[in-house]
Amino acid sequence: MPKIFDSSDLEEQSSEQAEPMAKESSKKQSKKTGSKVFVNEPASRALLPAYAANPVGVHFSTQDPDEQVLLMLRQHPVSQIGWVLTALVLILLPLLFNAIGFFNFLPINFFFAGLIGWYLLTTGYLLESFLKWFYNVYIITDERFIDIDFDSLLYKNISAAKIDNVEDVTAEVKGFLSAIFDYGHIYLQTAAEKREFEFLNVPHPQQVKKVINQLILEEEQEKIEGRVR
Amino acid sequence: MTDLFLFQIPEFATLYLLLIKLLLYVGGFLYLVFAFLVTRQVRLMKQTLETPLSPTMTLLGWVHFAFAVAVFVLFLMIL
Repeated sequence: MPKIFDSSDLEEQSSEQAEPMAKESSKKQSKKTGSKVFVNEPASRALLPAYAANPVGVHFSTQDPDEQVLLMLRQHPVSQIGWVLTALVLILLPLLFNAIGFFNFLPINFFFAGLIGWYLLTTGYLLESFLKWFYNVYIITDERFIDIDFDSLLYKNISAAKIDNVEDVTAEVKGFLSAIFDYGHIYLQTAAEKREFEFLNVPHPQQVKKVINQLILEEEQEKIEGRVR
Repeated sequence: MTDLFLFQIPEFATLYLLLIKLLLYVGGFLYLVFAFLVTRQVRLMKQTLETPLSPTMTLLGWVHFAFAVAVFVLFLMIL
């Protein structure tokens, strides 16, 4: 094979050069957090991420002082298409009804008030759906998996599972859109209470599964070395 | 057509409009309560999960509430 298509030498060279830097950074990280996962990953500063490795400025209420958020996941934006389309229909509906003269019998002030009221309701629906998407997150720290759920105005649920309680990880990509946009479900089978943890419609499920497996291995290593926190 | 015909009867039109007016007042007030609850919900969400966008979300909640108040006042003024 011509040399230009063979990157093995280059990889060797670059890995030789990169190795001391990576090791140093990894040492610093592991000293600080105990986890080497995402050591070389740049910190995510995106404002509306569905997949954020080492997210900056993200904290949750039950976080321990020395616990580090490694990965924050939200449902993939494509999986939210339902409420976006519904909102679009709600926005267009009055225009359609007005075009066929459905509201002609109403005085202009009533028509205007009704229209404003309708768009207010649509705004409320959009805001609620957006907030639900934004705050329903899955967090992976160097110690635990956290699932934060806000299903309605009055419902809040935070579930957590320690990494060493996880026995089995399954990634599932099902459906046309999931396959195209690379999102799916992650199921974590925990030993405690025989519960199953679900990360639904998260981006890059295989990558997330890999990260979780790495964390489980790290935790086992920590146990063997007696470094368990 | 039936609606248009019925609206030609003054008593019916008055009753019909009164009903719509009442509906809009009650709806506007209930929405006001909902908008206030949303601001509380955002606060609770912010306490549970802090992100760089948290202040913006709080602002969004209050802007929504202000919008609901404005619409309710508008209903009282124009109906």
